[in-house]
Formats: sequence, C-alpha cells, structure tokens
Amino acid sequence: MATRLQIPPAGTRLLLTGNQACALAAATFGCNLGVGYPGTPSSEILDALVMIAGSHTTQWETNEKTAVEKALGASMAGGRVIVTMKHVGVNVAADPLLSFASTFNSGLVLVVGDDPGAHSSQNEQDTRMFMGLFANLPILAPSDSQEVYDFVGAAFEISDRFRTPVVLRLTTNICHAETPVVTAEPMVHRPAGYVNNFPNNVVLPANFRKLRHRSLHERLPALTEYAETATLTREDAGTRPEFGIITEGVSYAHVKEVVGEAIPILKLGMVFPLPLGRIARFVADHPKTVVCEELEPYVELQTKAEGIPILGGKAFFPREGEFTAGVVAQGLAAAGLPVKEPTAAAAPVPGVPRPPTLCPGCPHRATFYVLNRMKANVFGDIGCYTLGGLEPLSALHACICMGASIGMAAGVATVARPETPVVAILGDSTFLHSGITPLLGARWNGADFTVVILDNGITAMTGGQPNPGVESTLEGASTPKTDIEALVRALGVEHIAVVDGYDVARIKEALTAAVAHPGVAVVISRRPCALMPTKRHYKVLRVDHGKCIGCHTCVKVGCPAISLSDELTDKGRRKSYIDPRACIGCTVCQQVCPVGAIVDLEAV
Amino acid sequence: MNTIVNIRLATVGGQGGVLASSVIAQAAFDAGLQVKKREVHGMSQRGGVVTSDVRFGPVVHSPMVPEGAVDILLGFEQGEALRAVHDLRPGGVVIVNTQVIVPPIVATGKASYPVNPLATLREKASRVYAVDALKIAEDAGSVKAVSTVMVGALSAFVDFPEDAWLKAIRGKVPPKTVALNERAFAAGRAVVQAASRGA
Repeated sequence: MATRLQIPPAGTRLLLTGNQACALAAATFGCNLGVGYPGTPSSEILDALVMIAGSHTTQWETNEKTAVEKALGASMAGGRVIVTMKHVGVNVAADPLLSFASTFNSGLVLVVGDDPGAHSSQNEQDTRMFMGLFANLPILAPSDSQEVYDFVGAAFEISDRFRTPVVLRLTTNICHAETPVVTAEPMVHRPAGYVNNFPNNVVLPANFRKLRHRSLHERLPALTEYAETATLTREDAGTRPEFGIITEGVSYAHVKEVVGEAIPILKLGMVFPLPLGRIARFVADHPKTVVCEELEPYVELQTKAEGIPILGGKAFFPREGEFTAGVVAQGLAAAGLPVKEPTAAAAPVPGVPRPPTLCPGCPHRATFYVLNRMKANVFGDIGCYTLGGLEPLSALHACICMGASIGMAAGVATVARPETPVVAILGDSTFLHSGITPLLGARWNGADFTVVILDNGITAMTGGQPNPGVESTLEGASTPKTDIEALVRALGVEHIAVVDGYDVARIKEALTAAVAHPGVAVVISRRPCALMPTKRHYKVLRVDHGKCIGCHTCVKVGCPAISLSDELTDKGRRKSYIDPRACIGCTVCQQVCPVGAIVDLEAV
Repeated sequence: MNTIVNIRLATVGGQGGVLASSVIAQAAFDAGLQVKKREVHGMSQRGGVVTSDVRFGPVVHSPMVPEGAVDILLGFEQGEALRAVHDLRPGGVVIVNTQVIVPPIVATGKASYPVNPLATLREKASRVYAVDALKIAEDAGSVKAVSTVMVGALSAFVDFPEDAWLKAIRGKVPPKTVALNERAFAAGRAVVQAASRGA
C-alpha cells in the first residue's frame, strides 16, 4: 500500500471530485468505518478513503446489503460510518435499510450515486423517491464538491441529533466532477461503545409499532422543522422577482449557467423532508415559479400535493436522461421564464460508432467466442462481461441485475427448455455478491443448465476493486481468498470444471461436457484481468501476411487490437492486422486462426 | 482572463484523457482561476468513448460545457474529434491527434470509419491543428505519453505560465514518468507553437 495522504489542515484549497471530497470529509469529520460495494459513479469514494491517513477502517463488502448491515452494527456501537453504493445497490440493501429506518440510532450516512442518463447502469432510478418518500430517511443533495464535503459533516450532525440514518444523494456529474473545496477543522469521533437496547434494536412487531409511531410523529416533524430553517437550503436573489426556480443537486449548476443572477432561485440542500413552508413562501414571493429537477417529479409532486401554485416541472423538463444547460434553457423558456437564447450545437457529423468493448487480452473473450459457436442461450449478469452480448461475440441474451443470471437460466430451463444449451454467466465478484444463493436453489431444485463463472480475480468494471475471491483486502492486508471451486462444491454441485480463460479448445471441451451433464454443472473460466492490478503482458503477436487468407475468423473474437489492413489476398480480401501497441499476447486470435497466420511479433 | 474558457477532450478509453483533463484543471486551479471539470465514461475500461470537459474563468457554474460552446476541442483521435466537433463554437480551435483507432465494429463490416476526418474537420472549423501525438510521444520515450503531448499542444493556446503546467503534470503522473512527461509536454507545446506562428 502506498503512503497514505495526511488530512490537510483547515482552510486548505483543493480541487477534488465529488467522490474525493466525500472521502476527505468522512475522514475529516471523524468517520470510524467506510464500507460499501463498488458501483459507478460511487466506487471512487472508498478507493479515495483508503488512501487517507486516519483511524478509520475502509472495507469493500460482499454486497450492498452486507455493507449496510455492517454499518448498522457500527451505528449501534456509537461509531460514525459511511456506507457507499450506486443507486441500484440501494435495492439490494433495501431490506435492512427500511427496517432500520424506524429505529433510533446515530452516526450512519448512506452515500448513494445516482446515474441520470444511465451512463453505466441498467436503469436511472431516483433515490430521492425510494429513500425519501418511501423509507422516510432525511436526504441531503449537494450541488458541487464543496457541498459534498460540507454536507457529509452536516449529515453526521443530523444523524446524531435526530438519531436516524441520513442519505447523501449524489449523481454522476457530482461524483465525477472536479470543483474547488476549502477544508474544515479535522475532528475525531470516539465510538460511545455498544450497549444492548432491546426496544430499539429488535424490531419485533410490538417494538416496531412503537418505533414506527415515534419516528413518524416525533422524529419526522422535528426533521421537517429543521429542514425549514436549515442553512443547507438557500435562496439566490434575482433581478426579476416575479419569476422563480426551485432546484437542487447538479440541476442548480445548470440553472445558474442559464439564468445567472436574473431569476431568484430556491436551492434545496435538504430534499427529505422538504421544507414546504419555505417553498410556499418562495412561491408567494415569486408567483411564476417552476421546479427544475433531474429524473422524477419528486419536489414537484409534493409541492403540488401541498396546493402550492407552481407553474409546473415535468411539463417543461424531461423525466429521463441527464440535464444540460441547453435542456434547462429550453424548459425555462417553455415555462415562459425570461432566458437569453442559449448557444446551440451544430448538426452532428456522422462518425464511427464506438460501442464499449472487452479490452485487448480480456480473459472473458474466448469463453464468449465458444458460447457463440455453441449457439447457447446465455443469461448474463452485471460486469464487464455484459459486453459479451455485443457484436461480434453476441453471446449474451439477457441481463437485468446483479446475480440474476443463474435464477433466470433456472427459470427458463424449468418452464420451456430451448433446443440449444442454457447457460448462465457471471463474474467472480458478482457470483460472490449474489450468485451463491440462486445456485444453491437451482441445485437443490434439480435444475438442468450450465453456469460459467468468469474468474478474473478482481471487480474489474468499476476500476479493479478487490473482492472476497482475492488474497488482499482493500486496505492491503493479506487474507485467505475464497476458493470458488470449493464453495461451488459445498453448494452440492457435482460437475465442476476449471479452465484457463485463454484456452479456446479446453473451454469448448469443458462447456460441451458441462452442457451434456444432467443437472447443474459449473465451469470456472479463470485468468487474471488483463488490466489489474497492473497491465499484464505476454508475447505480443502479429499477422504473417504471407499466410493470412483474409477469412476474418480472428476478427470475430472482437478484439480492439485487430483491424483490417490495406494488404489484399489474391481474391481481393483484406488481410488482418494486429496493433502491437494494443496487443498483450493472449493468443485467442492465434488459436482460432485456421491457417496459423498469427505468429509472435519477433518471429521471422 | 475575463471570460470562461471551455475545453472538451474527446478521447478513446485507455488514451489517458481523464488524466489529461485532471492536469489541465489543476493547472488552471493553481493559476488562481475558478475551475470545474467533469468526465463521462461508459461501461468499458478500454476502447470506448471517453469525454471530459474542463472550464475555467472568473466564475464557473456548471462543470459541463453548454451545447455549442466549446472554445478548444482537444481530439485524441480523428474520429472522436469528428464526433465532438458539432459542439465547437464558431471560431473555436480544434487540436487533433492524427492517430486513428479503428473499433472492432469496423473490422467486422458493421460500420465504416469516416473517410478523411481531417478534411471534414477543416470544413467545420476554421482553426484546426493536426498533431502526430503518437509519434511525438514515441520519440519522447513512450506511446503512453500521448495525453501529455496533447496537454502540451493545448498549452500553446492557454495563457498560463509554463511552470503551472509542469507543476500540475508532476503532481498527477506516476513519479517514475515525470521526465518522460516533461519531454512529451515540451514537444507537444513546441509543435503547435510552430504551427500557429506559421498560420
């Protein structure tokens, strides 16, 4: 582990991403534990926290639910804890969160990264709806890195004062945007220590009903009163007081970009509970007010339900996708607010599509190549390998959420088995996250299909975080790794094969045997990620143009290092070319070439 | 500096675009300007489209460059520069690495790479500077320094002291590669300075 960075003294000016600001704030405001599961755009919070010196512990957990459960314990012990995940991770963690939400405990801040526009997610759900209106947890919505930093401190204070978990809701352009931060005075929080508290921490129906009553009729009104006066929410004056804009989060940045100082703005810092009294007064002072918020009409619906006469919200702004200055300007103009003509882009120039792709040397490639050839029906999962569904590999046909591959395959195999093989495919981290229990159920119920575990020894898509299948923790401590083969065997699976992810023939052989096996069979395709922890290099390859027949079989493995050269065969077909700067020498193309035209770069 | 400068980096995953945008933002920050930066990267670790915006000036609200308001487009690859050029403001500058990275979808025949992107760029923008950043990086010692060559090329259009750039680079690149990156920066800066004097 590299040298940890010291927490800077108060008043230091830094340029930080929202994620870095969150990590630095956690360390500065006395966090004892940072825990979570990686997920874009939130992953770099714990990646950064572990690099900061302090007394805190930083850990990746097996999944979001186990991360939250660990955070509950840390909270019960009187510690300060941040637990990080992406928006869909909250679904996984919903069970403990929704019950814990009624108890009275301190020090817990749930940091959620939402992904409007679904840049790197399967959906774009709005955490404000789920954790606010549904779970009744206070939510803070910062607009830049400074606010992320300040709101982490405020979130700990609110959590302690009202004895409730607090949610810090971030979005991609907060998490991944670098903006200036001025640091605060570092503090240390000493956990009060764990004390048994049966009425508060055992949600037996009799206890739960009392806790629920208190949380709704004591805590929620107190939080609402706090929200009405909190400085987290503020107003920007404007030169046109008949108009107004209510906004929050990153939308505030777009609104300011468009209107500058012209239109008064109510910028909400705390978005659950909403300060509806304050909103009513703002609208009374500024009769032509719109609500400008990304994703769901969260503020709009509550404001309308209160009978506050706003011009509207989603009538002018889209409910899906990420906002831009142009989108906001258009919506404000549609609502009749005075905005100057925004700059506009010219017509896009037709260019080359560049869909995401598996890296050169990716150890998942050969397995998908073989599955494609087997015409398998492949139920996929969340990870880099979802890209195995794209051309030319085209060997993944369903993908819904973390861990769903095995259950979906089992369901299909149970109800209407296709003629061609049924295969579930998922990575090591996803298998450990939520693939173990469905495999246990499938084996127990006697399902008949094949599971492929792509074991690259890392959580790759989010940037290479360790998981329980790795011999090291996030903090760099050495630890015994989970033996995936032994684990699968312990679940009762009898047919197990372990193959090298680069060995095309062996993968084909193992998959053919697994598919023929009656019952659940597991193939573990193993080879370290080509990028992690550092980029790997084997013998770089080249195409021998004397031998290449232009059949393009190598092209079908879908490697970014392979393209077509201008060199033609006798029949006028373009011969292949391997970019030696991109090739890492995995040899998959070499193995599928029918004429042995792919040779070591140095070979003469 | 009285107005905001909007820079967009149009890159391919693995080219170092995110590092380059961080260096630019840090240099602006150290020069005492208000600065905001953001990046968008999709699902893949390598080979996908990666876009970064860096904005600096007296007051900057949003980290995203508004539509059609890019002052300087830093294209790390010809096709990517073409993809982003519609957001260039009239009179804006394009600095483009002449490198071509052909995605696998072209080799399989499902798509074609644009014919002569440089010529199209020159139709769309009045000031286009083509830089063979790959060759310059290779000459400086490693193809990995492409992103620093591009930062060097950009520096010729942004009025920060050279020291601010070098300090930002030293703070962001791996310690063992500082000398390499300093050479790459200087070479990228020199090639555009020479071209802009000629223009």
